[in-house]
Amino acid sequence: MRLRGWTTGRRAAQLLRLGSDRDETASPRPGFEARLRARVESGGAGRPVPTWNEGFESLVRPALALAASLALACAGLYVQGTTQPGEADLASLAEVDSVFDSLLAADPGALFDDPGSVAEPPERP
Amino acid sequence: MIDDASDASLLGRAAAGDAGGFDLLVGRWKNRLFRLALRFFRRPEDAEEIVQEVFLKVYRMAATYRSDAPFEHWLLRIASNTCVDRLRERRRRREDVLADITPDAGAWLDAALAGASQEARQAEAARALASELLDSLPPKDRMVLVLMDLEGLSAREVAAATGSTRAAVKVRALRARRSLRRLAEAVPTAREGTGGGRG
Repeated sequence: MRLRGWTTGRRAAQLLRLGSDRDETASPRPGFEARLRARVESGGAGRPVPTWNEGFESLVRPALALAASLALACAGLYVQGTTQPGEADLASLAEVDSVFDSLLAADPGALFDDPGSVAEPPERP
Repeated sequence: MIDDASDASLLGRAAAGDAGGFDLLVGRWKNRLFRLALRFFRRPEDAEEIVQEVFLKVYRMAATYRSDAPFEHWLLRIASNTCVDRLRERRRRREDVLADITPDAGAWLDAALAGASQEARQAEAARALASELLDSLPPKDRMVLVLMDLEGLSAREVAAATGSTRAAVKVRALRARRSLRRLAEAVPTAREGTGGGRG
């Protein structure tokens, strides 16, 4: 069992060596630099990343992250400050909204009534 | 002497538009990168294309290099990412590679894995087949195996070269070696003949 594992390990290592074999003294064909230079000059490298990008990385990006965090925090505080407890739940809506009340009362005709003429919903206990 | 300039200073000159600085950098590193690329891409034209692509990226990103990290790590990172991207494009399923193995090629590969001496033509066919089999490994796994087991880099150096952590590299190396063993087991031995893998 151990011998088989050792043999497999040896074959695996040999497979890696064999499949990744290369000439230790290999080098690119002559004219490599000239071909590269031609590609650089023809714009093949794309535009160099300008140095001000470092400023963007180190200053603007954290500032944007901070601004986004502040905006989120402000939005959260605003919602918390303006929302009354239970204001948006269905029960409250039924109490204050005549259209919703007519739907609950199975009287869809009330939907088409003039809003001013819709009777106040009856008092609920 | 200008050739004694550090890689970082040459890169700085390249970033400032000095073509001479960039050429010196290319001359200094092209062979090392070419030989690394040949580990993954057997055709010299393919390896050379990879190295050109790496240097084009180096030129474009020269200004983003931070001198607190060794230049070699930065360069290797660009090279390994470029190789991995290209390997991803040509990755094949292991089953497909195994299914394509002819009886002769399988026997030659088996003999090569056993360390037997062969004629040049057979040895070359065995190398080509081994390379095709390695193409079925996940590219990042293959990269880690080559860098650690063949290029002799430590886990820390591989982590720096691949933008990973040392722990992650060790885990990947463990997993990659397991995959490699499974691949080696799937190569039909001369006794079995060909016709697909075993695992």
